[in-house]
Amino acid sequence: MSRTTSLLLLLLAAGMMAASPAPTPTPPAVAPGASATPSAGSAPAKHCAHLDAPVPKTLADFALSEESVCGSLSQTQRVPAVSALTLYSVRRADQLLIATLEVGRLKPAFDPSSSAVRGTITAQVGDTSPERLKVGNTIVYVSQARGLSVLTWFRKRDFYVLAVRDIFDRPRTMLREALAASQ
Amino acid sequence: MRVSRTAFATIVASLLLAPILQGCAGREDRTNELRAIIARTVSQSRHYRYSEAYAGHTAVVEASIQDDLRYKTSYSRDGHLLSEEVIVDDARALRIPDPAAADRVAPSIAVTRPGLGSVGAGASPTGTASQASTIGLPAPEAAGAAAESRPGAQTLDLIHSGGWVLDAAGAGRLQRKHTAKREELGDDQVRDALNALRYVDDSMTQLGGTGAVVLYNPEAINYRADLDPFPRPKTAAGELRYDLRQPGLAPRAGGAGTSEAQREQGLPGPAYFRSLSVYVRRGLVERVVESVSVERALKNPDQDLLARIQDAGTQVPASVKTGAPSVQAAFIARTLIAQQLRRNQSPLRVHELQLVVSGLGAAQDVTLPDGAAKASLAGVLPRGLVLDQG
Repeated sequence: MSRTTSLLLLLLAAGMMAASPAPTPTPPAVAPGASATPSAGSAPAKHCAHLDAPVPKTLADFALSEESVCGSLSQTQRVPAVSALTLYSVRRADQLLIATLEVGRLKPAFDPSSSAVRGTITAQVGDTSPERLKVGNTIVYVSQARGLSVLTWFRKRDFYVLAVRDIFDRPRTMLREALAASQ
Repeated sequence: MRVSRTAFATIVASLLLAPILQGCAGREDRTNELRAIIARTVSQSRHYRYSEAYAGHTAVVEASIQDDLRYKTSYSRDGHLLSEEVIVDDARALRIPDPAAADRVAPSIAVTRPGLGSVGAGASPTGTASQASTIGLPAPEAAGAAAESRPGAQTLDLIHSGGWVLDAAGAGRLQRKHTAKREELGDDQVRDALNALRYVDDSMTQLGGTGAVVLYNPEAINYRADLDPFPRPKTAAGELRYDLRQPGLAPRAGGAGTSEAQREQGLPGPAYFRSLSVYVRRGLVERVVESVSVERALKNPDQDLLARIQDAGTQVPASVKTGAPSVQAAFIARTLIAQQLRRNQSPLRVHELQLVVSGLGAAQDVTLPDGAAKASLAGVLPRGLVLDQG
């Protein structure tokens, strides 16, 4: 796993957070139970390696929307360790982005069960040294970035990165639900 | 070059004996082994019974830990239940059953409680930070963290009613609390209990070097039964005991031609007085015991603590020099604590501590209480993320 890969992932999340539009009065988020569908105008382009990994439809009662990551930093041909990548956003009813969930699949040459691979990924996501949390049966690596808590975990060949804004007061609920769905 | 037979035999004998002597001295380092055991232990759900005897008090914390985001604690001191707390993901429930005890558990609550009058923000009935730390109450700084977000009058009324108060988003941010003051053992005994195995890990790190952790070996050349405060492991039952090395004294600077700083360097830190052992069975931690005792250190024939204190510029009264070990120990502890606080170092905390781990891997009953009153607990004994020892 190259440093570039993990940095790209975080940059993508951080960039989305920074680019989150100012709250505007809009219809509420999709009700719980609705499916996670690509948001309007942001369907993944065909050339992107889309990843069908298990993700919840909602997180802490907010709907997930798949974001287009094509033509941006996360094009998988520019990230040699990753064969596919999908990015979801979680927005409040006023459209303020409160979290992103990224799911990436590592190429066979990279073993996600290896502590070296995990260490390389988690050490470079966020601005702080990752802390290990045991949540259910999963080890989650927690680090901080500017205004964000960044939570990373692994499932078979996939890795998940949940970035939650610090202003959101239920990050553990979000994490627990994302973990359950990714089993 | 020719080597005589005698010399050759000596070399061979020394090569053969070296590992044996090393083994006798118990110098085989087990740090990594113990770290792996701790990691295995904290990866499972578990129950802790943490007790600390200090300054004439005994504090007990019972903790049921499902995982790092779901746990509950009960905290009592000298037999009086002071607080109960449940954390389930983002939700936090707190109960302080004895309203009078709230003054002792949570000074921030006491000073701002409506009707009691204001004693001043951040003030503490326990006195200075060092005094609070020494006697084991939350230090004013710890309580002062509440100043970031003060509890409202409704919350305070509910807490003082003695019932459960539930905050659906009260667990706070997913990061450790950062305060200007270093968190010392005893500032928050609930946190100490939850972090007890990390404390062991940190102690190993502080010792550093090879031989920081050794297996209990009463036949080791440097073992002294009179300096060992803990029971021997039940080896027949498969129990192992890992002992953390006690550092020796630094070279004594003496009085002439040395600076005050150099002479103070000759005074020992808290680790010199500490015995810390971890009992392990089936590759998991069963019990941790720590004893910090100046009086026991005085039994060491190599010690010259009073002379070092005198070197550092503190007059040792004749009544102490000729006094009983308990008198000398009290004087040494007082002097060292004052010096350590002056130098912004962690102060010596004389205590007997025990952590008993049970219920490993078993489901722990960690559920939010029924019928709790809902209110924000922001600013009430905030700890942030405390279980981060995996």
